[in-house]
Amino acid sequence: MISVKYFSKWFKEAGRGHVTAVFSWGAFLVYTVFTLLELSVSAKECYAGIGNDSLLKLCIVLGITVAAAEYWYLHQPAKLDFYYSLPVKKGTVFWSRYLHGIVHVFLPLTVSLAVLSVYGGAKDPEFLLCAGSYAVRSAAVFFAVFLMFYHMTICAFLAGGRLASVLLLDLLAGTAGLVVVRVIGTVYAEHFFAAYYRIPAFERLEELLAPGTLAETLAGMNVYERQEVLEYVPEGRVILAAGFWILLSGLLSAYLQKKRKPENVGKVFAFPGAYRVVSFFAAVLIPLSFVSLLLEVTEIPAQGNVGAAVLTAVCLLAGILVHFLAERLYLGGRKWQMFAEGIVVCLVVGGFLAGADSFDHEIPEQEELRAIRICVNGLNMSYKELEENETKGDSYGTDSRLSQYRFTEEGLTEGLKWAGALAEKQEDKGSIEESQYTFAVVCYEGKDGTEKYRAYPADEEEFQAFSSVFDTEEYKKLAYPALTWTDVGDNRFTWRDGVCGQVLPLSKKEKEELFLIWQEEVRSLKMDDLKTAAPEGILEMRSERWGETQRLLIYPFFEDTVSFLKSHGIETGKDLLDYPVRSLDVRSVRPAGKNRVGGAVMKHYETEEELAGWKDRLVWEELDWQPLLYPLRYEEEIEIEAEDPASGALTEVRCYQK
Amino acid sequence: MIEIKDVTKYFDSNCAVNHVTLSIPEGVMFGLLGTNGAGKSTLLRMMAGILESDSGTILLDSEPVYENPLCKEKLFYLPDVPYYFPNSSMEDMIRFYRRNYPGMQRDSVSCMAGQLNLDMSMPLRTFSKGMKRQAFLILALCSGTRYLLCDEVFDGLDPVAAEIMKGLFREEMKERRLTVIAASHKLRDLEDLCQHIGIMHKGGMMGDGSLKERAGEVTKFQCVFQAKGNDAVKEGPLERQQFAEFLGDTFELLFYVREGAFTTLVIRGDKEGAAKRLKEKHPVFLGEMPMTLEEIFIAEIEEAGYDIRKVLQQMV
Repeated sequence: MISVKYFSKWFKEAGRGHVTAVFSWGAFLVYTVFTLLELSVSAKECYAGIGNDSLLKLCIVLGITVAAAEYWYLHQPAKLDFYYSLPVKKGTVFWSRYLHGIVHVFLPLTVSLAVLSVYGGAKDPEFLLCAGSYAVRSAAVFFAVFLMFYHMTICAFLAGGRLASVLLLDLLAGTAGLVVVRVIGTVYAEHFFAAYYRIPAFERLEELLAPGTLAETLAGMNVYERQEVLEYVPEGRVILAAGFWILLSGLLSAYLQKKRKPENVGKVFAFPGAYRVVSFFAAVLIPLSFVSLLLEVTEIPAQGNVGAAVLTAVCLLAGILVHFLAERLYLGGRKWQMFAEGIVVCLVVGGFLAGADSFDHEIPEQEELRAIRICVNGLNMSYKELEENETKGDSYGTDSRLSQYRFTEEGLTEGLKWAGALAEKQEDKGSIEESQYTFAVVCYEGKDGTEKYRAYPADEEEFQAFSSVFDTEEYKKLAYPALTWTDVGDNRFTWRDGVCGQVLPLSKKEKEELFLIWQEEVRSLKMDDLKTAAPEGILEMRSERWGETQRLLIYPFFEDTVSFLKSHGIETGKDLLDYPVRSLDVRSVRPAGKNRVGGAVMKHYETEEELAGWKDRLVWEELDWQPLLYPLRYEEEIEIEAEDPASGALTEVRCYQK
Repeated sequence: MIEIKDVTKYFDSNCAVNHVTLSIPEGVMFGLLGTNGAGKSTLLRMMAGILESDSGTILLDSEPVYENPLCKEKLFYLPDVPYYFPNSSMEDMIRFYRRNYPGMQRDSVSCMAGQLNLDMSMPLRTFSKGMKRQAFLILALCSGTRYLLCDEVFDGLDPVAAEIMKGLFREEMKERRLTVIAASHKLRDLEDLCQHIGIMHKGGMMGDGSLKERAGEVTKFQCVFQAKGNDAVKEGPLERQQFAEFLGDTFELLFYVREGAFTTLVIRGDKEGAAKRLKEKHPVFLGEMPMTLEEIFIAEIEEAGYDIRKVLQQMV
């Protein structure tokens, strides 16, 4: 039991030197001043609390430095003897410093957030509505971030016997989770699982195991919309994970401070257990990470018995080496630990090997699914996006397509059949990189909320087979969101073909009529039709009411739409060379051959004869929408300088050759 | 009273204090002697409640010291290298100690510091090693505690300062029955101050007790013998053995040294009988000398089977 008298006396004593107070209050003062300046310049683009990256970093740094300032005495033998010889319990010294650190961060944090919220509210009336709750939520979130790192560093100061080992322990606690998930888990999954795209469980695991990632999620760094940031409340699981970290490291600190012996200061670790933990992690994580490196930089195939045997052997050998090095550096050997390390290493490698088959060929039953999301690379996208999309996770283009193409009805049935066929053939084709055609990423959304992502290679035949999904009403609605629009009479329609941007002089009724015609033709559109031609232009439809714009691609085989547009004075099907063109530049990039650099050829055309040769051969870049069904010559980058006769404006149009 | 019962302390596999049992009565100065690494500082740190013993108990007025602030208010621990806050002066340290030891007397500190010409407002970092030692000895004496634990108590003090400090110790002990436990590896430091003493070697307590009690059966003689004749004592390696044989089983020769004409002998046994026996050698001069700490303990220690001379050689 710690008496109040002793505690208050030692709380004052903890402030000796004022290091914590000066550092913390000073840092928050600087933060407040700079954020005030930022708010005064652009109140709508600046966040004072949640969403502010600088405040997140400040709280992390304070968590580490305040813990270091408060608990430096644990590594000063003379000071330790001095304190412990005085009439005070060790716990009183420890907890008074703990509270001192907390008070000197919590107070300036809340003062800073209060000042910034008041000022932000004065500058932005929208923010004023939620300023109070935003400030409170921000204080709670950033205080939790501080506590996570504060407790973690205190644990490191207690368990370490020297400052170097304290740093090692803090670093280990901060990065071990990242190593486990990113360096080992994700890389192994990429190489062992042919159908790997991403595993959401790994992302959640990273949030739990890596305090840095957890802090980012907690502080709303992954939220981008202003309103969402202002109203952000972390998910329950994130709050639980943060609470778990704070509680676990707090309890561990309380236990370690009780058990820590002053005579162990100066040893590498103040507890032999800390050495065991560090050496165990080193002997498991280093070899597993080494194999990750091998997988990334060498051609060792992870999917095969020989490769697996080689990798396991390398991993075990590296583990034994690390174990002996650690033992040599510190304590005598313990064979059981080496066996345990070996078993863990084998379990990890063996687990990935054993799980590869079921991972690659697992197809859930339709009854288990709430939805299926499919992104077929090269369908309804430009060639640039086709090239940018990656097969292995974290591809913005693929992710945005996956959220767009979410099937729950007939698309789910057809999509599941199509994906099943791809998965079955997976074994024959090997990894996606070997496929010459394209790939598809599928997300199976279970009724229990789970998400399973798979990436399958697809050859041309399988790609064509996607027409069973493409031709469904559900796919059309997702691919052409304008199909769901109604009451478009008030919308503004603009025709664009790369050079001109002509507003359609249509009445309300005519607009509704045109839109209905287009809807009918889209509904009857077949995937095979897209092989016949590129779009002639884009009909841009802007809703003034909703502030949204839809771009309707008009193909030449949309006969009724084209005829309607023509009857209303729109020259559809006009070639780019039909406009007055001043010049045409062609940049061709071709491989220059082995052991040669270069390969780019620039050509410039401007005479009438030269330009005439390009007639009916160019397609505006924006109309390149089916790079697999209607491919263009992408090795040539063409740019023309054309004049819009209506406005007289010169326009540079990037295009491809048919 | 401080009671140490069968206390053992290990640092990893190294036994720093090995089953030590000791009782230190109130109002005495107890000298804890031993060579470097003997375990004195460890025992002192355990008595101060800094370290926890692996086994055994340390009681201060029948209460355990470790993690007991009320009990620790009664003792002041002064390590061999005292800690002070950066840039702090004696005044600052008084203020700090006052918060922890309510009996701290500022006026007494000021008075003693004056005797030793110490400026209380100067930062302690500007003091020499000896001045720092003086300053902290003063702070320790004026802390108002009943027990004072000092490691290497007069280490670094010049002879004058050491004498003044010893005088101050005597006064405090007399005035308020202060109990001082002073650890040192130098016998001479404690010789004229300690009433009780304990010698530690390799973690064990080789012997302890009152100097007067111990001195009771041991006498130190200084003699000058005739250089010629049958009774003459011949110089040589067998000189000590010859004397031991001469004294026989009744008296035990504990210490023997010859410097020029003077021979110093420490003999256990009846004082009068020993003098009579020595007179049989017809000394030109025979006188009884006061005993040093070293000489008194030789008997007890040698009985324990230690090569005490080697131990003492390092302590003198």
